[in-house]
Amino acid sequence: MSSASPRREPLRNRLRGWLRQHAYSCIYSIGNLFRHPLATLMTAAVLGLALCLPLLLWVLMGNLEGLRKLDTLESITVFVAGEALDRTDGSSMPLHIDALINELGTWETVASVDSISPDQGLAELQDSGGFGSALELLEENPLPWVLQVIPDTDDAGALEQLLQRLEQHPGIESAQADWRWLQRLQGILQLARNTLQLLAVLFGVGVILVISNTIRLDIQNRQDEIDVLALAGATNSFIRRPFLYTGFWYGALGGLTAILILLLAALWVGDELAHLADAYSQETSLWLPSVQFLAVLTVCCGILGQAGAFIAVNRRLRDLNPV
Amino acid sequence: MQQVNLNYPPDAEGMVVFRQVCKRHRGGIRALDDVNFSLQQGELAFLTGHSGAGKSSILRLVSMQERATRGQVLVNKRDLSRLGRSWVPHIRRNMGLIFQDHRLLMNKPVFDNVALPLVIAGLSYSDIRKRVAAALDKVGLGERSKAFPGMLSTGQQQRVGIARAIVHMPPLLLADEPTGNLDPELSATLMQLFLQLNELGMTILIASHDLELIRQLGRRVLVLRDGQLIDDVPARQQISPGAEPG
Repeated sequence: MSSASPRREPLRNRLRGWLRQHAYSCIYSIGNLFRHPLATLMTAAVLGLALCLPLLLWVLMGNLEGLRKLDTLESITVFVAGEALDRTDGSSMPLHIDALINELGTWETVASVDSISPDQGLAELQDSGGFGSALELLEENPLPWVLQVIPDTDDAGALEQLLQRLEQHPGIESAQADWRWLQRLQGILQLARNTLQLLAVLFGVGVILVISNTIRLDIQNRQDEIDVLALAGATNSFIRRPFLYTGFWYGALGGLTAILILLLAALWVGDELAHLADAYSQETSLWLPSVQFLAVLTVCCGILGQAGAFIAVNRRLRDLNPV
Repeated sequence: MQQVNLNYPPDAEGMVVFRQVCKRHRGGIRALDDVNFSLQQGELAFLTGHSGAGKSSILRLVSMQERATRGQVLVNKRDLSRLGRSWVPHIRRNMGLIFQDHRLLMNKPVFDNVALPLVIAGLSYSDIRKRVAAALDKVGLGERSKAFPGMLSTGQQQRVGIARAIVHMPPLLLADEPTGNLDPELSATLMQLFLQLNELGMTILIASHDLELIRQLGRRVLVLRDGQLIDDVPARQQISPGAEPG
């Protein structure tokens, strides 16, 4: 029998046989899913619901991260003193504003300074604030010159010092920083990020367990077939393979269902988000993961499914070969 | 039908050799006790004895469904007790197993049932189709390849089981009570089939308690009683009517 060792088979023949076995297992597993469409859909729905929660949370976080990254929210808004003087000619820059911009530009913690004239401010307010008709009633532009100071640091202490220094400057009436709520948002995002990681792990384990249990039931139903395969000389890999494919399909279908739920949710909240963005004077749209990412996600869910199937079928195989 | 797939080189010691084999089940129940025999390549032999005599135990040891508690079981010089688990599929792929209860997959058509060993071996579909057709023709079921086992009679199911066992033309065929549920006429037909396979070079070991049938074929008979081999009747020698089986 030594001459009959499978190791003596030519590599090409073995590879060909191996590919045929994979093709057989793959087609067989797909056929098996179609033979029980209701059970397949139910399993996919359960997995999809389990997977969509971390996915939705992740997309929500992605959108909030988008808000955090908006440059205009990472600046200090400076209201220049002496508006009465400037109001007489809001279109050209007075000398003292120009001097102030130059002075602030030399500060170590300032990256750049942009100016917004009263006329520009009024135009922006008319465009975005919804005060168009009310503003028309004003006899003169009440807005001061405004400077947008972009800090050159992320350090909270340095930013605080910069804000205080600006407020104490004689040419500045007041200064407002937008990063405080961003810092709070950052804290919330960090918490959400940690929660997301925990949820992803928990639901990942959940997917493995659900698929493991589904495959275990499948194995029970096909007990006779497995016994016959083993007696006909099937290796553990051969017996395991269709179940691994089935686990992969279950996981991938669950992932696709979760993506479908995500897209439906995006359609549902899209208008609300547009209203919210409008209220913040932001032209933003709902951020959704890329198609490539969703494809990778589907494959990852499939691999989770395979892991669940592997656990279930290996337990059965241990019982099958007691010799 | 092609010739037997002689993966095994001819061996003077025999295709199947039992040397002082003992098998005890849990609780110390003795299944086999100091069994010694050798089955030559190309030989057809019967194992006979009353229920529980140890016929099935011998087949289970040869097919590595169990291991001997003591002694050596050799299949073409390879000591099965020394082989690891990973060898089990390879050993089984070089033999055909026939069961009394057929062990067919009722949710698969006859073709798929018979094709199983070839699918496991990774053969191409065209090869599988040809070989399955040849095996089904051999057992007289060439026209029933699309039928499901539930649509067939017991005898036809048994023939499907035989087709599955011989489709890859293994050098060794083990049959456990293959005629147990069949009428005498059908049993005789199946035995003729075994004789034809044997003529192709297949080594065949059949466990049976059908003494009349065994006597008609006049082949070698190993008689078991309470796990012991009590007689080894050579071919063309008759077993007395009062012998063990019954």
